[in-house]
Amino acid sequence: MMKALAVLSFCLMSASAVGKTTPAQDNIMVVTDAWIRKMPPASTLSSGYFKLTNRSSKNDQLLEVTSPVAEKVELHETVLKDGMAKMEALSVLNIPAGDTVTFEPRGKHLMLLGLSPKFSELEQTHLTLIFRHAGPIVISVDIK
Amino acid sequence: MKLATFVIMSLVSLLLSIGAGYLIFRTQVTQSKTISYPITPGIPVVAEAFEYTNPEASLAGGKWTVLSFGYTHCPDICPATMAQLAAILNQSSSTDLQVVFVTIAPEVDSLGALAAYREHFHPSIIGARGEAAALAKLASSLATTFDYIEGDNDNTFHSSYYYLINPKGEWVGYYKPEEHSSQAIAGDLSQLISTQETF
Repeated sequence: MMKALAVLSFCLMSASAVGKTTPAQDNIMVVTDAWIRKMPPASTLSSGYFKLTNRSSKNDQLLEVTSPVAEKVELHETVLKDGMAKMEALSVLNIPAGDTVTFEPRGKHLMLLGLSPKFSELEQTHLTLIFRHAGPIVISVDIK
Repeated sequence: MKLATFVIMSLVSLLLSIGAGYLIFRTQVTQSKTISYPITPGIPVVAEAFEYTNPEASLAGGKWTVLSFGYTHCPDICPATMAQLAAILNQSSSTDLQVVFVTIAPEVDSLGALAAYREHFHPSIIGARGEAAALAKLASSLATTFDYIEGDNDNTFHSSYYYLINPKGEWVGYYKPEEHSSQAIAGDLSQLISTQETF
């Protein structure tokens, strides 16, 4: 009986955690200055930028980003060294408690691959950012 | 003192003041610091067998040139470069300046693709394309290198600099674009072009 109750309460807790899909309202993770670069119509890729501020007392990680207009979104960093530009893939992105991580041109960026043909006509879209602790956050993004 | 003497002395002192003022001004202009990294003496740029999106364009000289390397399906740095080059062109009043984007991927970037790409950022940016051997010679004359691997952005690399080439076709300096705003680079270029006897 106790075991069943424990399982039930665990399920309820999980359900409440899953149901809480808008932690942005709690200001746990604040995403600002989000934009995606407008590219020539023939381009099938673009880049995205934003600032992530972790207002919680727990270190967090950005695990995944999805877009309705890109087949795939990857996290990358442009590394400038001795006059050379090279990209490195970021498997996960750490956002320490209380810190702000900035994605900007010539630095950390999202790489949007396999853009849909309608991308070049859009002025705005959205991205879903999935954090280890803050959960999924949907943000509106200007394309400019 | 006779009136004539007074007039002559006044004129002489006026001329001396103008002369001194001009010398001070000239010294300030020629001694003003550029934000580019100068290359002295200039090194001849080797740009044989290149084709351009603008038929009148050339890297052999005639105009001041700002040159950068990249490829049209590069996600972050090349669009950042193109946007900054476009802003530099918008802020520059010089007609003696051309901006050239050289593709490091001639096997995939046709002249048409380059034209469409630059058109999106600024129609005055010139796209340049040379086959592998010509491209390697150009890069080598600018003391740089590159590697393009199709479908592998993480192992592709190229220069991030803006190379400054004088009207004689000599490489005379470069900018590190991440260090300056487009406005600062445009202002610096205008000054370099107007005082080009310093090169």
